Amino acid sequence: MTKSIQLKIVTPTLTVFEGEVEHFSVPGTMGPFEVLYNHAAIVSKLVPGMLKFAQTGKAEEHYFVSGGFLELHQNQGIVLADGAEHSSKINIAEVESAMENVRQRYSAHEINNDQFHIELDLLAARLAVAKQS
Amino acid sequence: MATLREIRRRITGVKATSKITQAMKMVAAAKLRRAQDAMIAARPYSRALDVLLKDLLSNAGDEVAKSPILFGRTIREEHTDNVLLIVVSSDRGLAGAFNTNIIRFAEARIRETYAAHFASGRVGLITVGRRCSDHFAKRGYTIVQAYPGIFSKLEFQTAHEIIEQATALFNDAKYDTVEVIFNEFKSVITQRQVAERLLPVLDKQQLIETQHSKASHEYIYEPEPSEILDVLVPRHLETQVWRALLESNAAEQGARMTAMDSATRNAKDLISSLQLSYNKARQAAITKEILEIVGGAEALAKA
Repeated sequence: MTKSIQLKIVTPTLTVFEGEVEHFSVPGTMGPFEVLYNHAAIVSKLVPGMLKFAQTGKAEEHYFVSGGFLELHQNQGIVLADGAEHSSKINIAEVESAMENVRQRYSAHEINNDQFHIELDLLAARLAVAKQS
Repeated sequence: MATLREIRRRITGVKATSKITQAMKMVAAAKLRRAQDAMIAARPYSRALDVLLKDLLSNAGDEVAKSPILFGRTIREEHTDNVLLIVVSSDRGLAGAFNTNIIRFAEARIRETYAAHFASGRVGLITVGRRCSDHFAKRGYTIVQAYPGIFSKLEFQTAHEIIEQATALFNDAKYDTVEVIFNEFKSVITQRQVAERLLPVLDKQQLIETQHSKASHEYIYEPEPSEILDVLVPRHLETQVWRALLESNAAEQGARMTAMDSATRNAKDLISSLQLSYNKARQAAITKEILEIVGGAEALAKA
């Protein structure tokens, strides 16, 4: 079986993952999408959300990416993430208390509506990924 | 001639100093390793980003020429533009000529390349690291912002803050060119002082090149190339500043290691020459004493 995709997940400070995967999915601006073998060349902006991939004979891995880009051509994909963390590394309690903190700051009018939603969405996306594992 | 006790005291002193320089060398070596690792770890991202940026620029077409961030503003008259220089030094001294070199290089750049701008007060500085922050603050340069003490815990966030501020100033038309000046890590023992233009992203030559180059692949863009560029260009700039900080950090540790190594060696040379004069002085004292005894014995025999 050589029908695998070379996937690399890099952030400005380090390479998070590098290896062959069967398929993966990323949170694109128009919603999450799945990339299978022989996908057309694509450059896509990513929104905060879940990145999933499956290696042959292994369980699916989940990562949280806080935004970035995907560049894919000829079954070589690079995810240029602003930040990426493995689902098992996310501390659920910590994220929940951070969400509570954001809500409080909003009700105390320390942050405006837009900022409130941006921050809350980011944390909610992180929480969703953490609960996957 | 120095007395025995004086020489012994000096030897103890030099030995203590050499222990300190030796320890500083070891610390610098350990830090250098970490700095080099961080530099290598940052490479895949910046490389992938560069490729992506080139592809996008060749696909974005005419819109590129309209974007001031990418191509710059049309300057009304010669030298009426403002220049912002980001100078990167270190926080601590004792790194040989590391800081002297970069400060001298930055001053030469200001007084030669941007002489006309400087004369009319059109050069602003962002100083990174305590050394150059202190230096330029004392000499009456226009300092937009100083970032002292960032190298003890170097974080990507710092690069983000620096370039965000520079970009905001650029967008407000307060500055028309942004450059970063830093020590590039050539090898452990050599640093090279470089000035790199950050904004605008492209010069005229590069603009023409990108417009005539073809994208390496027929990509589907999601969303439009210009929209992706809006997000990608800030990332590109951050990465460039981040690289400058990492390079400078590694270069600093390399410079310090080399400086401390030669200091330790000098101390060793000094100790052995002091030891020699100590031995000589001791021998002279002994000879003198024997002569006195012999002289005394002879005098007694004669009597």
